[in-house]
Amino acid sequence: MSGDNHGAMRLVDHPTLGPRRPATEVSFSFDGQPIRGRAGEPLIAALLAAGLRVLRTMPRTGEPRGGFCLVGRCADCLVMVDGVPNVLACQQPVQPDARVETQRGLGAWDRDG
Amino acid sequence: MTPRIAVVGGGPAGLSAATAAARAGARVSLYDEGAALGGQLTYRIAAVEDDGRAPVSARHLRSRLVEEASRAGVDAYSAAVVWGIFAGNRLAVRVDGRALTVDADAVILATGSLDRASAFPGGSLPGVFTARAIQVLLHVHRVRPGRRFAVIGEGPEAGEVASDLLLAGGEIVARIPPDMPDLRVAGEGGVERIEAGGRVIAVDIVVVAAGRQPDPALALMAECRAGYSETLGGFVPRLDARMDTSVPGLFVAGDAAGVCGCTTAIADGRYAGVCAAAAVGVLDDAQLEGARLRWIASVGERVRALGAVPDHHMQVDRVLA
Repeated sequence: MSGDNHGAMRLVDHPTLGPRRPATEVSFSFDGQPIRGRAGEPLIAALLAAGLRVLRTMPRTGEPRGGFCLVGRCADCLVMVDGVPNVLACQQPVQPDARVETQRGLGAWDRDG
Repeated sequence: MTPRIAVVGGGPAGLSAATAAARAGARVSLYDEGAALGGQLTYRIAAVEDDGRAPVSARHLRSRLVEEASRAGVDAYSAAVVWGIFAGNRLAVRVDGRALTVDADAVILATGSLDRASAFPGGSLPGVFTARAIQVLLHVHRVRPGRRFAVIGEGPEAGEVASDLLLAGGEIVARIPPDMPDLRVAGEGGVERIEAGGRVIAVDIVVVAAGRQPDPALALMAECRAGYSETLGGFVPRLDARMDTSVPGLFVAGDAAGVCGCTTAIADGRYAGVCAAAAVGVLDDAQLEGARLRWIASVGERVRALGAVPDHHMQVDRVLA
């Protein structure tokens, strides 16, 4: 069974690439829930590894979206970071103590950028 | 002043173009949006053909191309997004949180390709990713986003991503042709099952591997003449025999000129680098002719395909005006 995280896991080792590079742990929060990331990786890597797939909801339909291209083109993975909307979770590196939230619709600024 | 050539894209074509132009004597800077140089070589692990020689690992080829560029004196920037191209071959670049413009005597676009989309019900649910997204997750970020995968597509990309998933301990629970009429993906808040051919299969992740298409965004922004070519994978700039577009000093090479794969992208890149160097006056015509013959000898079919792009110039500027 896949369990709560949809069978997601971090690949500590890989038959072709070998062991992954060492990285310091970075803690941040997603909708208030503590998440552990690895320094240098984008938000979406840490979120998917934790089994979290819904990153935003659409402005009109409210349908969920969760990333599609992973290379900064599709805008499926927009999240709010520290009160700033429209941040690409596939491009934004994890930062210690960042407050990351699901972006509802267009999101809202809760501070001046 | 030494003429300046700017290269956009640091994959096989861009790195090869930059190296060739720098060796010819131009001052070359290269901009790549990725965290590391290498383009497709940063996230693919399948063996790639190395210029007609024995296949090598993508990782090995990447280090070689990056090292050659560096030895040739190329000024290469990663995490540098070229978001605009303006009259007179002026590039708008965002790098290190700063915005700058770069003026070059010639620009070589080696922006590569994008995943082709495939539309089906449920295709926008969280848990549906492109083949390249999966390769980036598995091989760059070292995250396998699920355990049970369905792969939609029949081409080489589908086979490659399926084998990547198996290597990473994933399970391929369905391989589905792209145009299956009753294909549907469903789930609450994300992918849970895929329905196709009268069967319902529980999955964690659906991978869309519908092939690749050239990324012509900057070439079109520069308003060069372009056309649609099925052979080349989509909308591509029209090139003449010197890899240049209808815009003076603007060259295109690799997948951006028509999806071609790694070996051809390298051959394209080398030739485009030499052509750009000749255009800015650091190479003479005899040297250019030698490079042209080598390019034709290594990728003859490619040369014919590039020469056969129909003209469907859209004249976007006129429409907007």
